[in-house]
Amino acid sequence: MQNGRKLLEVKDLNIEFYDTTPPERVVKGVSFSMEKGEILGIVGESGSGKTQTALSILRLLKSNSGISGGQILFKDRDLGLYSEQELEQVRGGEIAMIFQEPMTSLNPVLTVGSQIEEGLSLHTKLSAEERKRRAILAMEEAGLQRAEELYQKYPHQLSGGMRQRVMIAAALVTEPDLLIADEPTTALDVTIQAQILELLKEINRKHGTGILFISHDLAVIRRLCRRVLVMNEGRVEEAGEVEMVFEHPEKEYTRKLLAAIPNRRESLRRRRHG
Amino acid sequence: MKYVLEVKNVSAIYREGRTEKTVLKGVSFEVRENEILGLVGESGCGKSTLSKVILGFVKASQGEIVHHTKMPQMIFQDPYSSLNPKKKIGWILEEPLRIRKIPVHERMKRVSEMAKKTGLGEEILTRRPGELSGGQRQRVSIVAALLQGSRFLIADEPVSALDVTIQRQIMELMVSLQEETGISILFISHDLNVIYQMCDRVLVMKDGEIVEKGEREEIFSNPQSDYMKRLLETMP
Repeated sequence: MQNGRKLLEVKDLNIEFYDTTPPERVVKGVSFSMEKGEILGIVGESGSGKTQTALSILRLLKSNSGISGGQILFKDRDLGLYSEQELEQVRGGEIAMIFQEPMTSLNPVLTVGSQIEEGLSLHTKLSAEERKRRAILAMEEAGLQRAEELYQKYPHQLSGGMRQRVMIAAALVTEPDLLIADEPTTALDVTIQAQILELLKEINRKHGTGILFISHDLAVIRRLCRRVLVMNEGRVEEAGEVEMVFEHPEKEYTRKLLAAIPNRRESLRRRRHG
Repeated sequence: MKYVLEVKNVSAIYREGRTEKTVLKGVSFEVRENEILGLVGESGCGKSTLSKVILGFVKASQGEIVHHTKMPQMIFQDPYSSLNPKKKIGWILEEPLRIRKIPVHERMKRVSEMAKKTGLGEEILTRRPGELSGGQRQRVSIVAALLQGSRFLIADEPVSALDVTIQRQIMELMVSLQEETGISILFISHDLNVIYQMCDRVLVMKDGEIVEKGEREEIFSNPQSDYMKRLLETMP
């Protein structure tokens, strides 16, 4: 594989929690890579280390934890060598992130518009007028109707689905190369969830934005991603093309995980109906 | 057909200042003896309000609720808030039996039998709620509900906050306990697939109304409402 195609490379990543002595290792030698414009899924249950892995890319781990080994290369640049200031330029610029509960990442006392523009204020020298124009464009692209009107509103005036669209608009406004999405559809109703997944696909198609999509939900991963990593207890259990992993899982854990997904093939009821 | 509950043409209204919002509109259904009845719908459709009306926490503006058995016991999405954090699990589980003045050795026997049956080891009984995992807490709340001796449980999204492998264990546990005891469960969930796997009959709610009602197979293979058809499409 040509090096220039690589968007992200994580090599032998270790993450530890320092609350205990000795520190508890929660991510254990995780390695994976993403090509430009790829949608990669990471699936796992709580405690599998998937969120810690995602947070460590932008060095957003909480103060009681840290990277204790390994390397994170973004477009062949070693993010580990970046100062906090340099990394600040990457965050919300070339790499953006969205979370499960947009309400906790949106500032309740600032208008939607000003929060979407924040990335532009930090990373560009555009005029206020141009920032607003781009914010409205990003809002429209994120599927927010009547963007001009919404621009003036506050987060609490929007529904959960709309807030997630606002987060997506804020993430996209700087045209990042990589979008890290940590359970972005988990708190949403199924019909809204389906719309947000379609939106992410559309963004990927149109702009070639690479998406690292973290979820506990295998069905969602299957819908969106081409490749998937299955994580369990801090390790990558299995990795490969989504269809291969789902149809022919190699590891016992993956099989167990797949068998547990609620489905409409097998009822748990033993007794007869009617 | 014997029922544990009849809900007849029930409506409910929430008032906020001068505005009124009708959250339930003429809802009618029965919960039969010895069945798991599923109630599926998206957030805001009125499914949780319905359970509050059944329990009498919210007053119906119209219609009638007829209980044919003791008040149902509730199982919630996160049982943490309903378990006293300061007490040990054994104490919490014994509480309803203590109120009924059941002697101490009999109480302990019933609690430890039930704990064993639901896959909670006896060592759990000496721990406090904060020391348990989500799946263990949900087992505790199921045991607590069963020890109350009610023949009717309302489970409001009981597996939604759990990881899939744990979710599966709790679903299997609820099904096997139902089949063993013959109690009735009103099982509320937003997840169509969970409803499919658990339930005998299904109610589908949208905007405070029941848009579909019937045997599980019938509803899933031959939905009549546009809403159910759309739900089935969006949920693989």
